[in-house]
Amino acid sequence: MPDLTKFDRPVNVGNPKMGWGSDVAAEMLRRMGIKYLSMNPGASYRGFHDSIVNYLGNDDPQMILCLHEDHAVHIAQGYAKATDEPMGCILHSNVGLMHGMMGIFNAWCNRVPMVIMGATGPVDTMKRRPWIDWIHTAKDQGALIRNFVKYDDEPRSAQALAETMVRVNKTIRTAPTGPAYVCLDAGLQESEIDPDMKLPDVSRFLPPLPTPAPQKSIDEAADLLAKAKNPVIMMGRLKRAEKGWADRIKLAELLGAGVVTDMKTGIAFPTDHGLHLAPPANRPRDEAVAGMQEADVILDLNWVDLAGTFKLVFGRDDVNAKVIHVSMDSIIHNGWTSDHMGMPLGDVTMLAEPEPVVEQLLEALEKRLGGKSKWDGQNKGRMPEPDTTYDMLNQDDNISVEAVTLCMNEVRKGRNITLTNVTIGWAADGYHFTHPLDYLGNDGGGGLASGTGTAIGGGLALADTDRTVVAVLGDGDTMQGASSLWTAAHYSIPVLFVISNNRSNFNDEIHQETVAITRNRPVENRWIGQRIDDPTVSIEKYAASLGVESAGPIEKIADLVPALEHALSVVESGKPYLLNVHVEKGYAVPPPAREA
Amino acid sequence: MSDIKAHDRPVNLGNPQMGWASDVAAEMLRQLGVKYISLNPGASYRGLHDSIVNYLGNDTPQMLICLHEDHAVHVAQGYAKATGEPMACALHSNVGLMHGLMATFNAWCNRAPIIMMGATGPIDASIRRPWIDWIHTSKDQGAMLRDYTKWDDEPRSAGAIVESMLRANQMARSEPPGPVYVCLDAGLQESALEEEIKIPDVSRFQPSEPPRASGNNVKEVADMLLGAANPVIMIGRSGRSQEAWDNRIKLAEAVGAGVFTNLRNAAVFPSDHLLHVGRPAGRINDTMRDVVTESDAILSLNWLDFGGTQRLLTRDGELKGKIVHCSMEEYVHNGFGGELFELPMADIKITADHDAFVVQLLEEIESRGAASNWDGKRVGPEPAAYDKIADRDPDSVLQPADIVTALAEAQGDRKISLNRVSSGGVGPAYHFTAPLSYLGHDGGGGLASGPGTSVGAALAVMDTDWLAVSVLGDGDFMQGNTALWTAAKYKIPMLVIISNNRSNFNDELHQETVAKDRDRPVENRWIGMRISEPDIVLTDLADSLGFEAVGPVETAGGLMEAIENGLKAVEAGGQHFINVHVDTGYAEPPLMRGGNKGE
Repeated sequence: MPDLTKFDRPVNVGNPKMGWGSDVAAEMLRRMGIKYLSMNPGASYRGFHDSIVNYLGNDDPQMILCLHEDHAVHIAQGYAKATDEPMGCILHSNVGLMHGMMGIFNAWCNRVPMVIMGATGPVDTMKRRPWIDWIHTAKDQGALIRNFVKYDDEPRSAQALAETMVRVNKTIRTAPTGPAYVCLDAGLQESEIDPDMKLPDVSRFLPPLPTPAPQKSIDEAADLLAKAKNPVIMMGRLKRAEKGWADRIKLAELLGAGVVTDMKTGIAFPTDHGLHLAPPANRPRDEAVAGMQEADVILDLNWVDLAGTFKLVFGRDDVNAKVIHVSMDSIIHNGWTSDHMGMPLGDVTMLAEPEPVVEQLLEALEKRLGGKSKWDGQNKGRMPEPDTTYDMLNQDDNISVEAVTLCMNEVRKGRNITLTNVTIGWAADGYHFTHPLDYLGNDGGGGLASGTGTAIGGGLALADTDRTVVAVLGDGDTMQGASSLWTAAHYSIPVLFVISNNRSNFNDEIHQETVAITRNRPVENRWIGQRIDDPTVSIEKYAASLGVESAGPIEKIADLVPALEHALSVVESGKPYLLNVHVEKGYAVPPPAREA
Repeated sequence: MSDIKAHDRPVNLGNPQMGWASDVAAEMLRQLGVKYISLNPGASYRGLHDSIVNYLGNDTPQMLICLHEDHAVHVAQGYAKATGEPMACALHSNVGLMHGLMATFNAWCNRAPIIMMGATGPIDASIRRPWIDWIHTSKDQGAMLRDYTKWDDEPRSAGAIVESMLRANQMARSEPPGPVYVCLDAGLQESALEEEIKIPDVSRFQPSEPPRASGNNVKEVADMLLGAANPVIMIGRSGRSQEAWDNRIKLAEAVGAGVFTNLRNAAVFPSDHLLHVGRPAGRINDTMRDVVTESDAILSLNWLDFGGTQRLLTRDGELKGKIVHCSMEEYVHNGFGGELFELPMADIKITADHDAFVVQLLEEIESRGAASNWDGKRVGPEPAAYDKIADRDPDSVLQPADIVTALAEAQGDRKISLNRVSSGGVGPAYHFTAPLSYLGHDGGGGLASGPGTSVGAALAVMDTDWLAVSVLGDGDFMQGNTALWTAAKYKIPMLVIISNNRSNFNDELHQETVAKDRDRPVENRWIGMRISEPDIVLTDLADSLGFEAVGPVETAGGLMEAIENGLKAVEAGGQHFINVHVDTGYAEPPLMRGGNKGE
């Protein structure tokens, strides 16, 4: 396993004393338990950079050097997706912040905790160098992202900075978790501090325990569920903890409830369980639709877009089931983003966290049911065996997106694979998730360039575990963030990047087709302005140029499993690897297209 | 010559009629004379995308597909740098816009006109798809960039799109020019036109001539310049007009003024003219300090950061001369950005177009019938002799400035349009002989700009006898490298040379400064900075994106050969890439903020 602390070692640091404004920021990050800071350097935070290297010795947190701020933010998101813990990133002045904004929006939409350290040129104009310090100083930089972070501040003294950091620590870890931004004035970073300054004890400013629901709501919900004939549980954005996973299985089995899961979020329930209705998808599959339509009680555990899913499932029909809506999400909704989605139904609404609510419901239901399960043990949804299997594939065929899934399933045997992300085309029918770390969900905000970065963050988080980290990424997304591969190479972060490469921004081709049909215009032009072809990007060569071992393009099914086996063996030896797989254009399950 | 129109041809268009609101936006782009629209696709503007392909036939404007919105905006900036004309780019919903924001800031700081077409998911919540249309719809997206664009709008009807686009065009092109943003609601784009939309004659909505200086000011400044013993003219950000270039020469010669230019801006005056003082530089140097502090009349023609320049010039003395500052910059200053810089001192402040002011001064001077003040002699020091690369030991290592010098030695009769140079500067030999000789920096100091602006600048000159060349630092290049693919796809001839010091070297110098201030070990300055282990094989990277790539070049002999071959490749229409390993260091180190010791 890689030892990250061997990289980028400072020398002769001696026994440095906390003496500068930026040392306070560095010290507070250490006390908050932040392990890594992904960053792209910039002069606006040179004071802080020095504090990490020469005051902290580049350890706890250690810097993770990136080639673009977009990568830095996405790596921090990937780490949080795998651990539910924040890491930090650093963004240089206004320009680095602007480069990182889409990554922040993704992190916000995905509700991941993150400390974003920013900087500005000297706010005191008297301290500015001509030109560069002026263009890299903008007023109230937090305003650029205030609509999609939980908190931001630009402290004006070292003591205020310490206060800001404890607030950040508490805020980002309080549900709904999310990113916060601290902007450090270059002047403050580089000014000396009062030697008698006292830092706050972080342990006395911790976030509250997860929020449970009022007993009255639990009783109401338990009454509904205990009597339900066809209850369904929709499991949305939930934590990676094994305890919560086990509790959810217990709850479903106690109620005999069908379970629906979502590809947008990390996996919340074993997909091979008899109560799991249908493979997770971006649009609910037939068995899941039927289950919801027939349900008399629906328990929503923080489902990302309840109203939207209901729209797909019920159309204009009424939702006859009683709906129990459990989510803290509305606490951080605002008027700017629409990531609150459509207005969710709730006959019983609990502003509470799903994990403690499940514990509460288990207790209440065990009482009501006398500890007796309502489940007859019958399979409620799909059979655990996939409909199509690897054996059915013709080895001489070109590779479909479905075949990528089946080949991944073939090579996973004997391994604990974590899929950090998959493409829209992923065929969930052919690959079961049986552990909370089997699949970490998508990027939250649908902003491309996220794939490689979040995969690296996932790899960083799980490097010391028995998990083998794999990302199955589209070529459009990959090319937007491709140079992040260098960071994986530099720190030997073991991740397998499987590029499901259709040489197009294919999702958008489908959109152009929809529009052309509506307008009675030629569908055959749908590829224009979409194809990433002529010249085809040699993604394997691109990866190799950045120091990531690679192979491809793989064109035939017969070649894919051996290539994946080799790739996984390299990753298991502690290094990143990229496999470029040319796939046919198409989706296993097409996502919903907006009607024109 | 390559034919860009050969790419991405739609078929079976028939005779499409304007029938949808997004057709109106596309038609307006054509009426406004926009030739290209750089983009990375996205479902929020699928209506507009269809209109460009199937209504306009992907012509005027033609789409240029990019791999990232950062590139799309920088391509448009590069095009504007070379032409002064706006092209368009398209940014997908809030996320594509966010990806393009830093480049928008660069374009804003650079006063580059761009018509940015944006989109939002359906603002009518009832027609949104679940999930994706919600996360890709946010309110008033223009607010994200309102502080660093000239104007933005989100029109609410097809008719309002016409109005909006007319204004966008006028705003973008009015001096000082800059980017504008028009956000198209997906619902509006995809709604059928209910009545015929009449497009007015766009020539009746053109920007005005920029403001002129008052007659009094013209007389006053003419008196000052003609009466001065040692006048200087400091020429800042200006357009690419040959006529304005010629007028500046006439003015300098008429009053015998020494002329200063700056590498942050495009070429504005022949650097080999006897009145051009020293070499075009990126910062203040002793030559400038000596000449300007001794001058009795200082005319700034839109000099960038004139206040900061004054501060540096007066560190050890005073400016004795009377100062005139002609600039319209303050028309676009606001409270957000610092790109207004320090407030410059001026005995006469003229808020007028500086190129027009030169014409006014020439007319005034000619009307007086005065003979030229210029004795025909050089102002400033004689050019220093330098060690020609061609004459060096072929095995000797390279300094950053050597790349541009080698270009100058290999140039011959070729017309080189240098989009930009790395921190190594332009060296001792390369000359600016025409407005396209050099296109300046990125404006906002936001990295990733080099590759994109270079593609845009190359696009702008591809049908001329200018050869597009860029010298980029490796840190900047790596932030935006996939922009090269767009040039490969559309066969845009260009030569990209990487001045590769394998580090974010500028930042290493900063860490050294801080470590010294704090009595901490300077030897750790490379940590979190150096792009090595593994070294990036830039040639393979460029090759993977469709460029012909050579390198690493490490010696003087290798450099001359590589550059000669590179220029030939571009003359043949190629996309050529040279990776040059240079010593870590600068010809002229940039200014370091002095830590707690102050400047």
